Amino acid sequence: VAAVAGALGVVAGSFLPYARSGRAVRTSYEVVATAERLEVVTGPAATLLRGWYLVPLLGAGAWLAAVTGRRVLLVSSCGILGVAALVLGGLLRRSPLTADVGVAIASLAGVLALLGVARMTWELRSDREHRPR
Amino acid sequence: VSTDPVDPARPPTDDRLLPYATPEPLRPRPHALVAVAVGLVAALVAGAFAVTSLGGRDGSASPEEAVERLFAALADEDLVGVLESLPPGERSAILPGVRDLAEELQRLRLLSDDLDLGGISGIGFEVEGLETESSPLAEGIAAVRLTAGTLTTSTDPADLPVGENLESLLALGDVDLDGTDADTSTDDLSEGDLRLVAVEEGDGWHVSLFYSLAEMARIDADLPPPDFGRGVQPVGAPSPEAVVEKLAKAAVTLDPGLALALLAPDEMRALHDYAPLFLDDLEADREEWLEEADLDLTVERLELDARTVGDVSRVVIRSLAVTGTVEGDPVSIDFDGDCMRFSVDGDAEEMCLSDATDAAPRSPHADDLGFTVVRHGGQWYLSPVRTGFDAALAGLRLLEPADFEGADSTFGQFVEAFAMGAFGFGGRGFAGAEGLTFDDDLAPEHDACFDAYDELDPDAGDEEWEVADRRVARCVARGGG
Repeated sequence: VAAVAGALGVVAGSFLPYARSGRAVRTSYEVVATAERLEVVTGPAATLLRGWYLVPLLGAGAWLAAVTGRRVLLVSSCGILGVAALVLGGLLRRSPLTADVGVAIASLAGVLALLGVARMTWELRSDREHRPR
Repeated sequence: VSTDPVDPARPPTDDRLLPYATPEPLRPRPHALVAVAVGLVAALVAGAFAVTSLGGRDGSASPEEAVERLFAALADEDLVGVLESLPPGERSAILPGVRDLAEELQRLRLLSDDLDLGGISGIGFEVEGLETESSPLAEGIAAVRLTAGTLTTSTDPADLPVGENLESLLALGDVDLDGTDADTSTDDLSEGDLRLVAVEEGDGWHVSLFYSLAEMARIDADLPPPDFGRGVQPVGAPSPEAVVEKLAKAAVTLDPGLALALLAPDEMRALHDYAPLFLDDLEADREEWLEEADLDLTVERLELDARTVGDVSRVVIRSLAVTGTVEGDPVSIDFDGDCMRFSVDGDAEEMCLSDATDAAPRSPHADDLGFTVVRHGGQWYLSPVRTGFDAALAGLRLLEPADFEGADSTFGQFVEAFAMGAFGFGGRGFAGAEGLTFDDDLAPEHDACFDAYDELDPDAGDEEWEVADRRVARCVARGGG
């Protein structure tokens, strides 16, 4: 539950005001597009940054994995979302832009997702150890 | 399992044959189905969103929209949005320089640590009723005239992101930002026939800073529009070093056409388009000057060092030798990476960077004297904007915050002299001192000499100022004290 809630929180946060420049507010996707246009990030890092557009798809994947009981898929998607939210939030705080409420929500949700992933990973490993051979 | 009692009214079924325990057929629970359906729909929407975002456009759909977006960004005090509205070639040349310059000015405490490039405090804009009208200049280039609207500019000096050193320097010049009232002014945008030029570049229309400036200069000079796209054809060079070699050739032969052809085509596209309006005159002047001066120079030696990162390279001159004649007299210039020797008709002079460095450890280094070149379409070109920013940054990096701290600092003395009216700005003192110019070497022991000005009455007349000038000059001449 924590992992799914965290994953959905990251998705929700990504659509909220993420960064402020003057009185203009940008969502995380607009921030990524701006970073691309202004060539703030180049090379492989820019390609990785473009992966942020897949956040809603990963969120939907996490939801589907949860309702169909695909635990490995759930752990993977929630883990990626958690790490991505924390990395983008960290980068944004080091940029000249002012972080907005979306960053805080996505970062907290990212931490929640990673805690959930840690718990599920431990359970998965435990299940494998106790599985009759 | 089903545990329903047997209903005698129902026809016999397998259930009735096995009433004690039967497995119930697997049926998906309705809420699980809804959850899966919601997930599938969300995945579809998210997939479409990702595809749309990955193919997102950079630029506006029309020239008018590009200008409106620029003014919207201005009204929002959104510097990032203003930069985004520029064409990719211009913003990639300007942005790194602006960012680095801001950092250097913050290091020197001329700008405040609170400076937010996303929104500069102390200055605000409001745009109302903006209306525009565009007219094409050429394919993909359009002039956008502002036909209606107002721009209200508010400034609050006390709120500007001024660093402590700049604040103290301004105070030396009797400027008190905290004591200056906030001001608001409104301008009618339709007045003055303001025309901005939008260019179609990348995925859409952008407001071009350089095209707009070029168009303003053209209208001001009352020249006809150029034949866009048929100006100077950029040629570039196959390597970063080759750009500077060609540039050196253009310099010694005074060839403006070659120099212009070496400029980055994305950054200097406007200059390439507008160059035919003045290039013929320049060429004519050049021929006349070459004939008058009987100039014949050749680059004998040019050793360069290029440091390349991606598509940007910094080229520094390690050694250079130019020989030839000017007005029939032999001339030579020789630079060995440290010393520059000039010789004109047998009279030689030498200047060495190491001498300056020995005297002051923060003097210019040979590495600071270079050119920034960029790769575009496989060829290398000179980037004038980046070269300018890099030169300015190299200069600022030689300075320390202490150079701006207080009246005794290098710049403090400069500002005080300025405030006192030196440099011919209508005041008195310092420049008026006999035989003393600001170029004279002033050592710390000269400081006391300027007490003569401090001792003057604020209402002192011209005669008293002249006496003080003479006292200062005599004091400096005898080495202070």
